[in-house]
Amino acid sequence: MRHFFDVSVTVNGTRYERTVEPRLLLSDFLRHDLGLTGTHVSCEHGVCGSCTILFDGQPVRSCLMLAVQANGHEILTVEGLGTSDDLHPLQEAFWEAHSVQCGFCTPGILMTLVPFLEENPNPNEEEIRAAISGNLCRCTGYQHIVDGVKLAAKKMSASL
Amino acid sequence: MTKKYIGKRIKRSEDPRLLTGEALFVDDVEIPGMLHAAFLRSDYAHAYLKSIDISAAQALEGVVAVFTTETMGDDWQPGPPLVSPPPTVEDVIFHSRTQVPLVKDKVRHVGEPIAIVIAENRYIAEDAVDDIVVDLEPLDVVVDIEKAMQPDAPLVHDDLDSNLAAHIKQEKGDYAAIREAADLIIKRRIVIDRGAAAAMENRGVVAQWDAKSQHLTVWDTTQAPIPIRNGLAARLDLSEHQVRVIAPFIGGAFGPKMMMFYPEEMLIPWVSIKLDRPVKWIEDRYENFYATTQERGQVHDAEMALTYDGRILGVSDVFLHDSGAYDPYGLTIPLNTQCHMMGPYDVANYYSESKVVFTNKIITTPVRGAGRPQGIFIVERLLDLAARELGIDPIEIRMRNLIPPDAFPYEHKIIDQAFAPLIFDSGNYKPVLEKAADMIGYDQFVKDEQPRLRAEGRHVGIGIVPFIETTGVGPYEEPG
Amino acid sequence: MATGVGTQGQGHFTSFAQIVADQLGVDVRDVILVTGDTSEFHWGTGTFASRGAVVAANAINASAKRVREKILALASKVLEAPEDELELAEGVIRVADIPRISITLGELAILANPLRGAVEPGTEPGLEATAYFGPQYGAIAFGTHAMILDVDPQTMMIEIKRYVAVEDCGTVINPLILEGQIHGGVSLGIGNSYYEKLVFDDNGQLLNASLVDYLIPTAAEVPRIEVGHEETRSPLNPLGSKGVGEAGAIPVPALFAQALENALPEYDLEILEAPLSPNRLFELLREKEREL
Repeated sequence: MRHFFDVSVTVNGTRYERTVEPRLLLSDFLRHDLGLTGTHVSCEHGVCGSCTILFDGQPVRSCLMLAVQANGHEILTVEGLGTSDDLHPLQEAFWEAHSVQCGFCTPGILMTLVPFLEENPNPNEEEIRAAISGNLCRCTGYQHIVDGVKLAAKKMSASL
Repeated sequence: MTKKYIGKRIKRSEDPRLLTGEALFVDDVEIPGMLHAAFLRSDYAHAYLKSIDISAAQALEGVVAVFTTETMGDDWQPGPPLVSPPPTVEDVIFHSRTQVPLVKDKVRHVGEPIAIVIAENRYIAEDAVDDIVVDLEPLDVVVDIEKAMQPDAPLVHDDLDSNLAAHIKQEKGDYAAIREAADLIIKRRIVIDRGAAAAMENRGVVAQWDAKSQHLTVWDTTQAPIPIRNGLAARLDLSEHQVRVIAPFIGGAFGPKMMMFYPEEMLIPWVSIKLDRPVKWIEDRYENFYATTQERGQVHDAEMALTYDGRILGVSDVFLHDSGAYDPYGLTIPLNTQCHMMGPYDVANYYSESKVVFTNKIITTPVRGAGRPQGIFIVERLLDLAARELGIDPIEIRMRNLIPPDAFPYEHKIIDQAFAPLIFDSGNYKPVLEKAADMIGYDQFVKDEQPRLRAEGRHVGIGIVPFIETTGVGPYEEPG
Repeated sequence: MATGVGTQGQGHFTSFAQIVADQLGVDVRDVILVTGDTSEFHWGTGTFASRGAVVAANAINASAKRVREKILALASKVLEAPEDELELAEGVIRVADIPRISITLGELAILANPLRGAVEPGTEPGLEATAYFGPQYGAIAFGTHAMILDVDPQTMMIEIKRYVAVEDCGTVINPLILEGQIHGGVSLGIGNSYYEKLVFDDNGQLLNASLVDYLIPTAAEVPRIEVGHEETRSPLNPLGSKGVGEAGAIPVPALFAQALENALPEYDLEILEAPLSPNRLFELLREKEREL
């Protein structure tokens, strides 16, 4: 017997009403039920950080949450951060600093950094590395990502 | 031609899409009516498959089909060998044994797929996998590559006399003779073990058969869409223009996505045609450790012959290479290792013998480095130990042996992974080594910083290693 | 431009576009690379073995060169000027000394595929070309890595204080992309040296089949890597390039062993295995302590 529950979630400012099984992961809900495929799934055991989204403003691994837990809450995914024509300063900085290679870990890293930069507008190298130490990247060796964060911090404080 | 762009630090044109989540990866493909696959994988590393009962799985609500080797009938065939043994080397032994879509009579490594479930979603498919009853008779397992070569070792492939998959020897000059003239022989046993590529994106295949237009579209996390297209067309009895393979954005690969005709790659398109429905399989991280290829396992008995002033007279090495349960990738990795065991040095005498060994482990195919790190590890370790014994500075001993700039093209008289002669086309090695030493402040560290830190109780060390890399192999590419 | 070489994330869309842009005198942003789709082209192998910058790039260079030749031949007729007086720049072909006599590439392409009239015998319609590149043998790149390592013989924790990588891979197409490849390769090499090892038990069971137990280096383990360049061109291809995709990973285990032995001279270690791990280093040091 399969059970279903109604959920109402606001994602990137839009309210979605869906009916889901309780065991449906939030990551799968976002990607396949809502078609927001920018959030990526890589380990499904909460280690790699690729699936990180903002849940009521806090960075959360969506593979460790169930869709039903998001009922009544607000989520921000990478699609809500910027578009190709209107990039967020963090995305612009990543582009300039060559912080992206395959791009698979990128959305999770961006979402981790958004609240980090709000709380730490001028982070040093060590602080940045600690902040992203929960996000695995196999392509870049992290250096250009760290450079991208420093550049983003500069851009974001300049626009204040 | 003006050089306006070559050599410049240009921003990448693909980045905006990747940064905004707009880039298509294989798991992003959604097709109406798409079904999802999950595999029953073996818990045993070596076992006879006695029976499978899929009836409970088939009966589960939401399950569309369950396939085993039996139900595949004549369509079941092992994957093609990807790289043939080198035609130009004498006395090469090579037993080709390739991976299968689903286990037929015997399981040869943990995680080998036994059955595939197709359901409305992955959750239901995994439920059904748990309902499959399979009877496996465990056999003795062979894991260690040295034990695998012992006469009483369990056989991974019963139709062979031993677990020897391949044997290749390459020589240059006469090591045995030069050994007699050496002032110093460094002889050591060196063991290198396996690692995974572990790209952030796991593998995946989506196949969509369109019966009306008799056309198959496949999205695949592959580094090689064209060979996949060609091979699938051949296996499925289609012509090449009926098959389109798309490798969209790939979330890292590092080699194992160049392995072709994985069981899943062979099966998913077949299932799509059989059911006349689009089918998706996405590997999860746990599966990735069992179902995606790995690399680096080797055991070397290596030797270097030198003069008292640190000049390398020759290198000799006999090594076992762990192939895992099958050997679809031929001798690529051992050949790479053989080509890197002389490093960037002027070595006139070389003997290398490689035995490729079957074990009950996941298949070995190239992972970034692909046998080269092992070769460099051997030559650099032997040289370091020689430097220690002879009391020669580590940089100095390397300088004495580097191929000089006027010696290029430098011929090594052995062949590389592409069966081409190993010829070093060009190089100017000394300035690179000097630059690295300069950038790290080698002399100053050894003279001043290190003694100071040691006096403070710190254990700080410095290392410097030069290396060559064979690159740019054929066969060819063609853009339009 | 379409090529059979796919992408793993190394930036082929851009580095290959740089080559075409230089040959055809267009803005690199106007070059669109199509890759990874077998409906776009028919022949090719794939992206592996550090071959993209050599094999694919040179094939692209050759085909772009042929397109350039076609452009000049047709433009010469249209503009009624000899080929050697023409220049290609900013998406336009013009007479070098009289720049107002010009035609855009787009307009020329339309003229190259006429709806009426005849295509001259001995020529082809369109401004397309296909070229192959198959190297005679592989190009050999060279590099040297150096590292300063701090190890705590009580906790077995290590810290890489400095890391230097000097590369000579011939002609460099995009230095930013090249550095990214080195950084990524080194991070895998660091994994292969001290953190990553697949452990099989005697029953062939993989004991660490998860990212909790198979340790991929994080931003806290990978140091800042200082990259240096030398450029010794390869005589094997017109671009003079050699591959570099795997270079970062190759010397690291050997480098680690050397630096670790150098950091612990009182133990007189001989490191004859890779990968190590904190646990394994502990065992090696305790073994040595019993001996000494």
